[in-house]
Amino acid sequence: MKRQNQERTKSIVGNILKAAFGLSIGVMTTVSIAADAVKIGVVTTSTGPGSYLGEAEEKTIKLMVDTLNKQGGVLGRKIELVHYDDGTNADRARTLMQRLVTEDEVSLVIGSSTTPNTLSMADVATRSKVPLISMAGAKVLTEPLRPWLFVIPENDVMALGVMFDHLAKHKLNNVALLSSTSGFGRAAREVALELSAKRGDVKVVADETYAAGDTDMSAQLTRIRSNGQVQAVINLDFGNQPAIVTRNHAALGIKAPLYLSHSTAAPKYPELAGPASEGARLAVPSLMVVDQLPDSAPEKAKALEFRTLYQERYKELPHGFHGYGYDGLLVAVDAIKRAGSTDGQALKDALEKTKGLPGVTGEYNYSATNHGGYVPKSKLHMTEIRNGKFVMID
Amino acid sequence: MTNMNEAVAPAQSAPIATPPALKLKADSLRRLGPVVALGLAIALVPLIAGSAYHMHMAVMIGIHAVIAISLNLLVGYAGQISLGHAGFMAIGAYGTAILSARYGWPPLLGLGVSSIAAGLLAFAVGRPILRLKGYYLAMATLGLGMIIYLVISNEVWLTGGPDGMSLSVLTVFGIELDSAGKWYWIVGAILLLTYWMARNLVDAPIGRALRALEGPDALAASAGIDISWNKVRIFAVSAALTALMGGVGALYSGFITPKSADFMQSIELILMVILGGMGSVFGAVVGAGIVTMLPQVLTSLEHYESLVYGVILILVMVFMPKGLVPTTAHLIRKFRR
Repeated sequence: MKRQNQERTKSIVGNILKAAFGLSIGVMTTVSIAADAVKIGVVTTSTGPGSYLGEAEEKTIKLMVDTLNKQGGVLGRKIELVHYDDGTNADRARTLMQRLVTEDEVSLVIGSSTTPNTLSMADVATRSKVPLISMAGAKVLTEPLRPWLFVIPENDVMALGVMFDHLAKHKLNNVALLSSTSGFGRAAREVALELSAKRGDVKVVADETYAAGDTDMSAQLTRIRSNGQVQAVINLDFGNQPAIVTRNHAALGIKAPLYLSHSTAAPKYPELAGPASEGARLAVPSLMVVDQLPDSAPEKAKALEFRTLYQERYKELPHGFHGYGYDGLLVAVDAIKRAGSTDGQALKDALEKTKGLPGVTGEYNYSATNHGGYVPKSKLHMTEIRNGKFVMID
Repeated sequence: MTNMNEAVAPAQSAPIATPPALKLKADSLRRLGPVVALGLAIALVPLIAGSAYHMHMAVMIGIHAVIAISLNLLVGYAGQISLGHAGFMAIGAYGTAILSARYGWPPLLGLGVSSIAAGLLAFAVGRPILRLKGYYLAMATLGLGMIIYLVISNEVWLTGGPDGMSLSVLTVFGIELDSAGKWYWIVGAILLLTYWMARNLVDAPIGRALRALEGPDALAASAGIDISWNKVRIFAVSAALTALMGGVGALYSGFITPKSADFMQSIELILMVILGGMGSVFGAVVGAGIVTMLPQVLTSLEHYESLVYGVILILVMVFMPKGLVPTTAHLIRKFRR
């Protein structure tokens, strides 16, 4: 009898727990807010391997929303930011996008910082007809065209184009590729090979790779050094490993100059690589070299203003990825102003009519068939590291 | 002391037990009761869910709950650890995606075939791997999961690599399964069925054989249990079920990345089992619910999220080492006495 009693209790307990489990889903609602605010959702990759992208974007967007609200907001309404961190996890990014559109009922979403996370969110954007503005930059985001997805950074093809132009101009026609097997490195390597085949003036004579997490690339660089044809070494990667490549490159005394991809463009890079980074070349967004820009550059005034603002609040200098956050919000707010409403369709139409909008990274132009903000000329500038600083070069 | 009481109590009451027919009825009631309760809970969720986001969370919990139940059969009952189950999930997800998107198979056929393939793979590697014990078994399953993860991230031509791969919306009998609301009923049905089967399984001779595997092999063998066959069999079943849910998850979300196959995902699955309670079918469901919802509930804490998440897990494991459900049930039983 006792046993039966126990079992009955067990099943009662079970039932209570089950009910609680069901209820708790219902209770998970967010705090309600003033109805008249314009709600913008933001998803950034602020933790995990992609954190150096997302953290910069998150800080910038928060700062700029505060600033805009002090100036009266948009459409006479305050902007309310709903921010989530996707932790470099595409599944999570998708859940958060779902949450933003159905639970928080935002008018527009800015995010995320990396390509897979954006792709994972784009589908939800299309289904729920909410515009999504991404701060990631691979070609796959805009080809094929996704009707509700707009992209801020220029894609990897254009960015590598700037590097290839520089190589061709200086007659460095035979190059060695050294790329990471991570998502970014792999995509960039493919783009580089395609670009080389298409242009014909820059030939890939060596093609080496290393795995994410490797701490020494001397073996690959030694093979490159022993290849007499190589006139320049191109490293395609982001994060900390390019600094290791730079140190190995210097330690081995390789004469061929080192080129790095634009994703390495942060003040942290020369810091990590130390004196070895002297002479390394990479294309950087305007924000990195704002002092050296000619006054005629459309983005200069805005970039200087933003830099001062950012330095006041966070006591550090903004770099390229801060710029993508700034421009993402700028493009969004501009569209809301012109649409005069927060309706999804109206916002999408307004976004597609964005013309000559100067941001801190460059000028933005979108159309019904161009969601990549392409401009005829790249917005990046070729620089060389001199005394630990990014210096613009021809 | 309490443990001894539990072991002794049934034995003492056995001689004056109720007639067999009545006992059988009580037994099946005991087994059906929780299943009916879970069914009711599943039926009630849509009524209290406020938005599509809640339904989305409910679907994710359902998918994870089935995997946690299948993993619990292996870890909690048979005592064999697996740190590679995310790999099986990925086989289901990528199998379904590749067969339907690249080779034009009907998605449901792709789902079935990839689940069976995962089961066969587990069966093939199970024999050598499951001879290992403790840390060595953990390492071997971890390695298996890593290999699957690496293959998926490196074979770009087939899997799309780290950028992921998309699937088109599934249509069944002319109905487009394009919302969490529709998927909810499918996942709910699978969960209920799995729950019912698992509860029956653990009380059947197979279940008793599995529990014997947790102890010394020699003891189980002396009781006439085919150790190797039982271990391999439950490993394969668990892998196939996990792959099935991986495929269902892929069809539901329409987009998959290798991230879903990585080591952290395997850890999360194990966490669901341990947190909910090893060797408790219902515990697996609770564990899946908590591990899936907690990060979402904690998002408002911004950068402290991971910290609070970790602290909660540590506290639960320190104060409830047997897991939430067994410990709570034990406390309530003690209180009743």
